[in-house]
Amino acid sequence: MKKSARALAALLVAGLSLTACSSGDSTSGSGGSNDAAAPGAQALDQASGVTTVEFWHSMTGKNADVLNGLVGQFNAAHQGKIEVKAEFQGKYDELVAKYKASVQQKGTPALVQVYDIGTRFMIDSRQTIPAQAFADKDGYSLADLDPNIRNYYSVGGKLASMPFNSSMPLLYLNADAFKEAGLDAAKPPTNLAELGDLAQKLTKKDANGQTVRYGFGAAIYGWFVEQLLAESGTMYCDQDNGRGNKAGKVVFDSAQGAQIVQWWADLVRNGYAANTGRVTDDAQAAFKSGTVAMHLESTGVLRGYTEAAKFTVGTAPFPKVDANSQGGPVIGGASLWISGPGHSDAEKRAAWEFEKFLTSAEQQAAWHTGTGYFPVNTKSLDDPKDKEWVAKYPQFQTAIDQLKATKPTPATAGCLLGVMPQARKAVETAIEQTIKGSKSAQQALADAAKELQPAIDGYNSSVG
Amino acid sequence: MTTMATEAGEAPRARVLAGRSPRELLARATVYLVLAAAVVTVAFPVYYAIVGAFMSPSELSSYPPALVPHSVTGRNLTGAVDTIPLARQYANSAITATAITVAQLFTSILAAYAFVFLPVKARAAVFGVFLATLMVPWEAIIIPNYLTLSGWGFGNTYFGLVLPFLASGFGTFMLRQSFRQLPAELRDAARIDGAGHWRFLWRIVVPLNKPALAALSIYVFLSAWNQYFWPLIITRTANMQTLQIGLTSLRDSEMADPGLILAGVVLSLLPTLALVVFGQRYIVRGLTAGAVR
Repeated sequence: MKKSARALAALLVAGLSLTACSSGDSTSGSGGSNDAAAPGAQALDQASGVTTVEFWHSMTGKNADVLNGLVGQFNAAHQGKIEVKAEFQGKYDELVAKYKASVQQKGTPALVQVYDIGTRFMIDSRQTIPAQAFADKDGYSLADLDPNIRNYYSVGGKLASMPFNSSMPLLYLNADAFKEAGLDAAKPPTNLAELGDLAQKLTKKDANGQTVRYGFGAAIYGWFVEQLLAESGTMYCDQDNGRGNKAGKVVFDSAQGAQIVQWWADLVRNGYAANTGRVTDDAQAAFKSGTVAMHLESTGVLRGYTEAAKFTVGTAPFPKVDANSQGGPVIGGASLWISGPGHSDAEKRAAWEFEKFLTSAEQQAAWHTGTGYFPVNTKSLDDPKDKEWVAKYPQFQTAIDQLKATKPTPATAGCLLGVMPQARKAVETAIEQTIKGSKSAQQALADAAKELQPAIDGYNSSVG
Repeated sequence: MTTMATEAGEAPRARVLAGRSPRELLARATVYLVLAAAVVTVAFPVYYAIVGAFMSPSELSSYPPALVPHSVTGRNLTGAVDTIPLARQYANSAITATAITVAQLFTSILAAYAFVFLPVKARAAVFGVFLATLMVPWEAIIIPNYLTLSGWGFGNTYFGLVLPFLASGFGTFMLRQSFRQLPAELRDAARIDGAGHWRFLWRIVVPLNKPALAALSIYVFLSAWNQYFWPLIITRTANMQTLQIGLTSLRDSEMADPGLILAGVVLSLLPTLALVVFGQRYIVRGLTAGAVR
């Protein structure tokens, strides 16, 4: 989910599109439609020797350790039959750049982990077989997958890729600051108006009038606006968030969008919210050091916060826009895609076996407790080890309850857009302009939408 | 960061300052103040990286920032070693940087010798071609290099890591300038003594150009050690990655653990620091050695 597009990665993409004979449509001429069909189990049974699955991922640090442990378990269980080779390929953005290169060289990996906002691009690359095709072929039930998470990675009711590492946004609270201000962290704000009021009460100045603690602070990160729009039950892009037909334009410049951005900017302008800029690390540091009392972040940072903060870290459901908002949060994270063109049936089957293994209740519990990601399998939460972990980090229960309470709708599925990374940056620019006061939120968002249009049109026409 | 050895015979400070005009003293004080500020600016990040590597997460995120650790923890160092195959990546960086340095020295010495001592046809034009390679930005040829090397199957191998850097126009240029300083009498004397090109090169030219060779090898080694983008795209597995790429894997996909990253950075700094500290003295010593006695 975390990003920071590297200039170098961008350069790589630019360079590769120059060296490619054709940009955009890159389906190999081996009958594109047949490639989307999933082979049956016999493909692997009849394969001789070891089937190798090249698996590209973006997991680093402890998350990579846990993943490599799971890969080792799987390989041990399929000794002599399947070998998964997990290879770290840089951050999410860098991986997508490398993947584009591999498509042009006809050397795609059999299995690839791609972040949430790369979903539309992966579908349009026409290099993958939908997870649904395998599930239908085998009569394999996907019912254990969390409905909201399944909703995100489904198009037209069909699961395109296998969710793997999921996270969702939470409202983080500094419980000590609440106590100090005579407030109760067990009664967190539930919507933007309440959050604004509390931010005012939690802001603390010293004798010289210098602010020593801000009531609120979050990174200027487009993801949070996507989340708040979903909470309001409205769309980010047209065609029902691109879930019906392909989205042709963004609609975040709505009354709700303007309300969200204006609310944020006003808090900063009135001195109740810290403005730490776009870098998430800086916003995280502000919360961890206690200089920000309320903060927006993903579930993925919970364990790090409890370890680093000297105060009691509280969590609350992500705020609604108004008291009567009917939406909910959108899950973030990444999913796994199985390659079709250029891969043997045995490879495709082996990749599918590995996907089933990774998303089984037991493995997802291990993944959840090892990394802090949200388990994509609902049965994982019943696992004793998992229950023990949640008891250790009771703040995580907020996330579990929040997802349970969320009804899968197009709004909470989130927007599918080929140029989602650019859309995110455009919204971030709009927030900055509103904070500076150079434009109203409504105007800034309308301008952002207008500037994005050529990119959306260009993308859509390039993939046909 | 290194103190230059005071030259023999330099007067003690008191006598240097005595009998100077106030204006001169002020000028000196200003110079020292500016230098002190520069030292602090350069040294502080290094100091904080080393100190931060031993701080607990809560101390690192406290506000105002702690400049001195209250308690020393080994958590970051062990965490860094557990998270990435640090020893292996250390070795990869060392192997890559050493191979590149040795190869570049070898090719540059031979090319520079040819330009200075051999009757090369169209010498100026050929040398111009060598210099022209300095004008091509590395970023512009990364992609063709990547496609070529992975096409040859050198992706994720040591060969792929070092191949593009085995020779350099810069090294050739630098050594050519240095070799040209040699008096022509040396070549004539060697010839009379019956030394061929090969012997003359290794017995006379190379030993007399040690300072230039030392400077070049330190420069090449450091740039190879600090490479980021090429190792990132040519390697695929953690076991083939160099330390610089390993460091980026210390950063969690969701949040940064500054202590862990600082611990990795400090470990990767050690060879660089050692090289600068010891190498600088070597260069300074080498510069004062005469060529023709």
